[in-house]
Amino acid sequence: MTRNHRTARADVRLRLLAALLALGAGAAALVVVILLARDSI
Amino acid sequence: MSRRSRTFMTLLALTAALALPGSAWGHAVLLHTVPSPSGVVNRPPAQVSLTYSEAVEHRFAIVSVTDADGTPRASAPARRSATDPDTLVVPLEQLARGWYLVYWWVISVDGHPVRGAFTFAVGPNPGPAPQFVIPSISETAATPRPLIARWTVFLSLMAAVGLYVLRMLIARPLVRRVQGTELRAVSICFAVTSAIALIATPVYVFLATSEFAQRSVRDIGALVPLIRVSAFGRGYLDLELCLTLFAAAAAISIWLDRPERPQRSIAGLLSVTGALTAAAAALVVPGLAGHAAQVTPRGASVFLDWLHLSAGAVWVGGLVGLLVLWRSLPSARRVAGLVVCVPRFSSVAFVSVLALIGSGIGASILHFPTLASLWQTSYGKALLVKVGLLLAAMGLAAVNRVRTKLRLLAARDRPHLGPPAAVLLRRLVTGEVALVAAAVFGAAVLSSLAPPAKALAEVGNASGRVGPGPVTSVFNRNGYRLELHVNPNRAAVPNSFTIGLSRNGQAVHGADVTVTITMLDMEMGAQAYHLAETRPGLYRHSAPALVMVGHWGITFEIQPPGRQPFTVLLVDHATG
Repeated sequence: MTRNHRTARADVRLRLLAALLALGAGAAALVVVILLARDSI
Repeated sequence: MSRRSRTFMTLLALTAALALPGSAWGHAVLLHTVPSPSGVVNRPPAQVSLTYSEAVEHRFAIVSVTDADGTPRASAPARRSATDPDTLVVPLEQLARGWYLVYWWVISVDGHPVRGAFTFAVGPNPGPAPQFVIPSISETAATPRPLIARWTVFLSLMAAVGLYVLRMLIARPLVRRVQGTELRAVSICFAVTSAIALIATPVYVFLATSEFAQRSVRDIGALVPLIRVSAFGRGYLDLELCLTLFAAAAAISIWLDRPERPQRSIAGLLSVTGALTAAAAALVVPGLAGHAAQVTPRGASVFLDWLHLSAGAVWVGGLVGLLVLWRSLPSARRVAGLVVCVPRFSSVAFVSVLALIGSGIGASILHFPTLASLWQTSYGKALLVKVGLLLAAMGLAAVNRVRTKLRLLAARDRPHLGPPAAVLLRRLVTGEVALVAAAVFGAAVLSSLAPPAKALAEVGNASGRVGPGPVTSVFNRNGYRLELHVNPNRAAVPNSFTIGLSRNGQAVHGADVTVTITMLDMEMGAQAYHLAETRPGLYRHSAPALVMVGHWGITFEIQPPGRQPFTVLLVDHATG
């Protein structure tokens, strides 16, 4: 595996990790709203 | 918006609609007091207790007990009862014989102040009830400072979500189709509006809490702990959290996006899904923390509010984004860029406006008890102004759709049509943005006012409008002559409700007569009294039922012996 390959794979992993973070943020916001709905309704 | 995103949004909305149970809930209503309203107690009470329909926060409550001279007689501020969270207790000084006014002001769960007043007397023989002066405390949340902050929150939240949608779902193909273009300016504008929303939201909560708690904004140490005490404060702090999560997810997805590639990567798709979920969640919060969650059926009401806000966000954010694109595109490529973006945005905006109209009409049907309350109440008038502004903006949008868009498309074959069409587009879109921003201000006013009372639904059947001042009205119903009196028709004092009932000149004896009194300016519980026959054909009851200044529905229900019952409704204006 060349250096370029390793860099590319690390980049893919980083991007996937960032995407999962964004997805987690969306899920967390959804949980916040569901808890608020349970609290205020 | 892609099919995947559309499906996700629909599923999310359906989940929210199903998750939220539906049952009646209005503003805080005073259910029970000790001493009772207009009651005469023979021993001075040690305290006044007020039981509401929901828990009210004592740190936001103002309860004053004053004697006939206006001297305060409470020995300590109101506190929550140790045994019942719905009850406020106010310790009293040793009261002398005489009449006392209890004036209360509390914050409902949706952040709206509600007030009322009643009198009681310490006897025996307290003497005639005096004319009390009702303390003057604002009962509206629509004061300028929180209103401007609320408008900033709404507008920046909507613009941020709309700009993100434009950047990621509408204008994305621009970079690929027109060489030498980029979406950096739209991304920066998104970052700026998100930052404004993130700053404006806590500022608004702080200002609103200072108004509700009747404390100075400089009293930061006392106000900060109060913010999470009210459901309203908790709701908007949760909005701040959702906004932060949205801004983070959106920033990640913009960083991951490669608009020069036609297909999105899996990472890109995941991040866009996360950001759109957070945006959808953030747009639910204003409904949950406001009127929508107080209207039956609540699930449908919150969903309509969310749809209204989302559609408005896509529209106003997209318009702002188009202006940014117009400015940021190199002049040589401006028309080509607009040819890519405008038709795509036009289709999305068309659907958004339809959703905006549909959800607005649906929410109005849920909020307004009568059509007339549209022009008879402050809430209705604010809505009419908002609708007028939106219609004007839709007029400009229609011109853009049928003229500017077609000219831009025609510019592909006849380039000389492009520049004038682009200039016309900029002018019309600027006008649209100004009108929609003004309509959002209307929405901020609207959501700061108390919605019309459900009792207004019956006002359309009113036999007459009376007051201020003593009332004498004569009506003929079902062959009977009714002479109605309300005297002195003043708030917070005993009023006599009298009805003289006759038929063919003869007094009608033995009728069953009740009077039901309902506050029309705000949701309060109705009071009903049976009128005693003091002499043949004359029915009377005296009570301080008009517990506050304002408009009251006074319904006389008459059941003549052996005949069909009938009612007469008066809309009364009682002054202090």
